[in-house]
Amino acid sequence: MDKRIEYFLNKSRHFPTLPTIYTSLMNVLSNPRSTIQDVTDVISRDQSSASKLLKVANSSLFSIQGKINTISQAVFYLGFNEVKNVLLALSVMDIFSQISNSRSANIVHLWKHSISVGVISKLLSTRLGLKDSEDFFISGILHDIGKLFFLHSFKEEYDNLITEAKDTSRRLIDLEFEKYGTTHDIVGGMLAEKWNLPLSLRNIIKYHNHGSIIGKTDILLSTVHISNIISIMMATDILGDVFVPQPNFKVWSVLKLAPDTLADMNQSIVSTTEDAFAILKI
Amino acid sequence: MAISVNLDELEPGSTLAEPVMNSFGQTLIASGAELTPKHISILKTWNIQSVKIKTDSNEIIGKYSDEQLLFAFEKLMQHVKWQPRNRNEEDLLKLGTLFFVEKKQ
Repeated sequence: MDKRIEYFLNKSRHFPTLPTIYTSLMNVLSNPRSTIQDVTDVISRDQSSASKLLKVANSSLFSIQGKINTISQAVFYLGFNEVKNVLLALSVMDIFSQISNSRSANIVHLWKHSISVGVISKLLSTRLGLKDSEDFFISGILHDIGKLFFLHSFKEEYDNLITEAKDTSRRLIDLEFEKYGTTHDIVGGMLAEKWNLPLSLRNIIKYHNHGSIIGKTDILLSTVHISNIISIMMATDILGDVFVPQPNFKVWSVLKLAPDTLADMNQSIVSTTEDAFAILKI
Repeated sequence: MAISVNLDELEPGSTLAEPVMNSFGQTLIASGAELTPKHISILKTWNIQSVKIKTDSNEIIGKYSDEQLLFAFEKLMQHVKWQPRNRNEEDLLKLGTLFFVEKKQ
């Protein structure tokens, strides 16, 4: 593995540190004595995150009846875990905006791709009627965090690698391995470990391309795997020579989709991703 | 699936995916109702901003000619080097075709 990767992963005050609002929120949430008021206080200290949280909570991503006007209402309706996840998603958006050449077409595409996989995963979890659907949006946002790490660390060098993959119709993952001796899913997994993210999210980052872990899959991994493919299909006009991967066949028996489920989601996917782009703009 | 539609873009004949309710939670128009021009003007007088409308992929497909759909499908398949193995994968490619045909409008 390229020595620079280890350096960037361990360099303090660099990309791998999570914003203070997220870490202070983790501390409050891990204390069993914390109240809704404690959580609200931490979030309200960061006005920009607080107002974005309200916009996300009121968006079509969460089909909540009525308007959410305050942070405590957001915590009440979405739950501690989902609020924490939305704030983590906002932190990832901040990292995008920190990249110096964030107007590059490849970076904008990665930004859109991350959001759309989050949105599609969330919509699918709603469509499947899952009770426990809190981790779906954040899983999509985070699944390609390794690519964001590469862009942040190697800048144009990695940007050019993405372009090369598009132009030569080679898989980006193969080019990464040749250049860095490792790939974005592995490095993303290492970063997630540094961030102390739960195992389920680390697994999404490492295995979203395969769709299974040692031959096994679950509902979250299957959903993100399919949402990733759907998002790639949405961008076929800017894909260049990139191919849409065939799904891992195992995920279908986990998802158990009724006929036309995906096709019927067409308009809601398009309009909800557009809403999310507008709210999370960098 | 349902999509939120602004009242000024609402077309008669659309099917409500969720009931329209007033601020007291009373149902004004029931879910599943096929909206008439009269419904729409009533919604306007109630000052309702948007409603949830049912979307059915086959209805959208009906808006396009066979040539348009085939063209979109062939464009999609330039990026897909595999054949569907079951109905779910056919569904996935149908979604991809819809993305393409709606974008090309």
